[in-house]
Amino acid sequence: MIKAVFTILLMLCSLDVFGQALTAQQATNRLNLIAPTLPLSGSFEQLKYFKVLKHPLKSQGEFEVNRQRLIWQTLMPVKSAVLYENETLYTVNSRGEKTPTPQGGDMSTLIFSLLQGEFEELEKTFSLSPDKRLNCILMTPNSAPLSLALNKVVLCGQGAIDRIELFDSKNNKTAINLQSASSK
Amino acid sequence: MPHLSKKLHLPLGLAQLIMAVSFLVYLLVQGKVHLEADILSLLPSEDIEFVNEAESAFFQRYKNNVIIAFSGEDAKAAHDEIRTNYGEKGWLYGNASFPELETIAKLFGAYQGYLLTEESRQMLAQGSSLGDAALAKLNSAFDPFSPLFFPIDPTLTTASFVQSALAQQASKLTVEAGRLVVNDDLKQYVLMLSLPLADIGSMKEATDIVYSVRDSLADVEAAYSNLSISYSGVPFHTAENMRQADKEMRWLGGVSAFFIVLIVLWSFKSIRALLAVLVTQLNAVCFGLLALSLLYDSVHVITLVFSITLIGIAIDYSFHVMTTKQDDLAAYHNVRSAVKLGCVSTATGYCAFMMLPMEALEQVGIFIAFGLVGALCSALFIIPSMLRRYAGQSRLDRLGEGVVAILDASRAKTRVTICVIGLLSIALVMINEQVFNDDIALLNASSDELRVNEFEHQQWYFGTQSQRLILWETDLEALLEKEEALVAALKLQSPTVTAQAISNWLPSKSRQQKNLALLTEAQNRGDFVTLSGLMGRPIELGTTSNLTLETLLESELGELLSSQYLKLDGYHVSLVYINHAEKHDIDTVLLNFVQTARIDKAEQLSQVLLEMRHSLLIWFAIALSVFLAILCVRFDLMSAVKSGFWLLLSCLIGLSGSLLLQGSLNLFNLLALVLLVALAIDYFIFYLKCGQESSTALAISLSALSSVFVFGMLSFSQTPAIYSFGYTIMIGIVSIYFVAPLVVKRKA
Repeated sequence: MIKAVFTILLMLCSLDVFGQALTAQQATNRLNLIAPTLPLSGSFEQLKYFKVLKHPLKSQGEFEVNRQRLIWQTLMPVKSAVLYENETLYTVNSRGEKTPTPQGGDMSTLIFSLLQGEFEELEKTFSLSPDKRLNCILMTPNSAPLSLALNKVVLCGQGAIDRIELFDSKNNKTAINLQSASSK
Repeated sequence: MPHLSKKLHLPLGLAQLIMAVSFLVYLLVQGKVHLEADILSLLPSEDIEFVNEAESAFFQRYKNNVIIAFSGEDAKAAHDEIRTNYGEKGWLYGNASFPELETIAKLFGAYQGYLLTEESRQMLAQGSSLGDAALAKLNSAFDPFSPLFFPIDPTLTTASFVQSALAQQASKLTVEAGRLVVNDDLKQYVLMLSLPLADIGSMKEATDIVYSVRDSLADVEAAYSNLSISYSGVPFHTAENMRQADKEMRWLGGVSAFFIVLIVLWSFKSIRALLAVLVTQLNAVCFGLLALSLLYDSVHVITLVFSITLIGIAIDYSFHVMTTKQDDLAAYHNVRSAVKLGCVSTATGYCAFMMLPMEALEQVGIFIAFGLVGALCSALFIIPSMLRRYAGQSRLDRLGEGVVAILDASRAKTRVTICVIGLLSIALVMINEQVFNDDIALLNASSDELRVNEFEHQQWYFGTQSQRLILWETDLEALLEKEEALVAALKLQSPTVTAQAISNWLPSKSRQQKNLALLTEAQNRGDFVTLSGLMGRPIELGTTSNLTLETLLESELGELLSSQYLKLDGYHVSLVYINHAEKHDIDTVLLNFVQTARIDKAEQLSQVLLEMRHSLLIWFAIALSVFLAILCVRFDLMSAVKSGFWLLLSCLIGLSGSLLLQGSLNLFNLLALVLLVALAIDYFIFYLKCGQESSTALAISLSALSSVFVFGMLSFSQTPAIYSFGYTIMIGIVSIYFVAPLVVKRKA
């Protein structure tokens, strides 16, 4: 009986810990993040789950983050890219044609921050809290336009970000595993 | 003219005054006098009239709105406090929310096949596949549209269509936890209030409400240590201008009225004389207003502004009759015929306004011509009876003699001085690069702070280079096709152009049909085989009829659509916002489209000023010719030429003096010329008819003094339109006063 009560108390304490808000510094400490040296480059593998599909959509590609430039390039199954340069965000189709995205500044800031684990920047648009996994941080958007697109985001890693999980408004999950060039 | 017994003068005069006042009061009480305050209605173009009406219809709902922005550490708390306060009063405007993306996906997804972006359409037209683009979009980690649209429309063409339309609609405002926010360096929290001004009858009450909002904002700003509040909106401008005008009317009006009373009492030492002046003014204004009320359905506010000049002219008639001895029959006869001639020539000059294309100026002509008849009736019939037993005539004679002596002594000096100043004036006008500036901003009395706020807040809502266009057609399909063709033409000029238009959300029926045909062809080519394989079912296109306006108006996007679409006078009208395009480029493209207009209130108002200025210059030429012709017929050619020369020189001096003080001239300087010419006509006629008699010189001196006090005081106003008028009058009157005696020989 005492053991059962103890277990319930422990569970309640754990729940409390999961729901607790974190500061940017606490989040950084939890993942032991070290500020990456730029340029940061590597590859990614992405699994996108749709409730209407039996199997996830798998794609892979490469990324490169520099101070004023970012490229997120999908190589398989279809070539496409998201490119940020000259303070403009572009989508690039399989034929290499670039289309500027109006108001794309916020999106590029988000991608920059997610890849580098910049919680101080992320804290401006997300509420941070611990995930049940020890090396992950749960982030919930606190602005309407972002919450229309994202339900939540989970950032995982130790020393550097190696996994990003995005949950859209329909709670479809997109899991991205990152492998930076330095750790290859 | 049949001879009237002198005994009948007073009863007749009083009878017409009572009848005029009673009739005017009846018309006012019955609400038969309508004031038209829209200055743009002055533009003589049917298209502009329609655009003006459409613009009012689009923006009517916002005209009582104000925007308040809070920044600083305490911004959120202050925003919430103000929102709660005004929320309780029901003054908050709109909800800080976006339509749910899922609802939009369901709405547009039902029309899959009909909706394509320009890019998709081009790709399909070139025979390229959209399958890869759809797969890329589907795989994009950061695309919020694909999860919502994919189950409904696996081709994701509808998703791209909605994404593109939303991107065009984007503004700097976002929503955070139910608050409108601008995420700039300051992070501003924005609130929009709709002030309850619509049902308020008096401008004073409306101004008080706006100032109570201003005061409450100032209180909140003082209560928080780290807070800055900025506000903008038409009600703030109106209230600021109203307070300014009210303040100026009180002290400028008060001071000038005080001086007029002082001049009359000092010179005539008689309350009756003061009453005589007031009765003449009252009769003149009643006659003018009656004529306007009976001849026009509505009277423009600008007419009344111009018509203030009547006061300056009508007072002259009183002074001339009052300063002349009634028992000196020859002099009295001369004055009476000079008053009549002055009235006929001035009224004829003002009737020249009827030849101009602007109704407002035609109304000015009618008002003053009839007003002068009223002043004449009073001067001929009422004043003589009121001052029959006037005892101060010898004092007036002495005063008159003194004035004549001064004017006589300064004749040579005046001639030289005025000629030299005239030459300098010509030089000043010649060397000045921009003599006229019709920019409406110069005439705005709003504070700089309010103007800066207005500019910044407008940018949040509509972007930095937003231009507004109004398009209209009798048929909705034609309107949508015109929007599409117009945007395409603008993009040909500059590919970065973006447009907020209803056709972004609702393509024309013909375009929807073409889209369906293109997509069906692509499907038949096998573009979407991979996608249908993923879904495990074939992709169906065009299963419903095309998207219609009715569907959109009834949806959650209804408010957005109706803010840019309306039906007016049998036309379908749309409002289009164009960004990142130069005004010049837009105007060039618009030349190829009928029933379209770029609306720019400031530019249009400046255009009104320009048109009116041109009209006034034409009037000036006509009035001068009429005046000279009358002088030529009634007196002689030499007198006419001399009068014309001095009049032109005085006008030039008045204008160049104003140019020196203001930096540039505007419509209101020319408006001052209208009064100047009218006064000058009287001054010349009286000198030519009566010679340099002491009574004439005294009456003209009193008239000039009163004009300087009534109109010259306006130079002290803070409002550019008013002080422009004041400067020209002040300088011009002084010049006219000294040159007028030069048209007759020195008194023997």
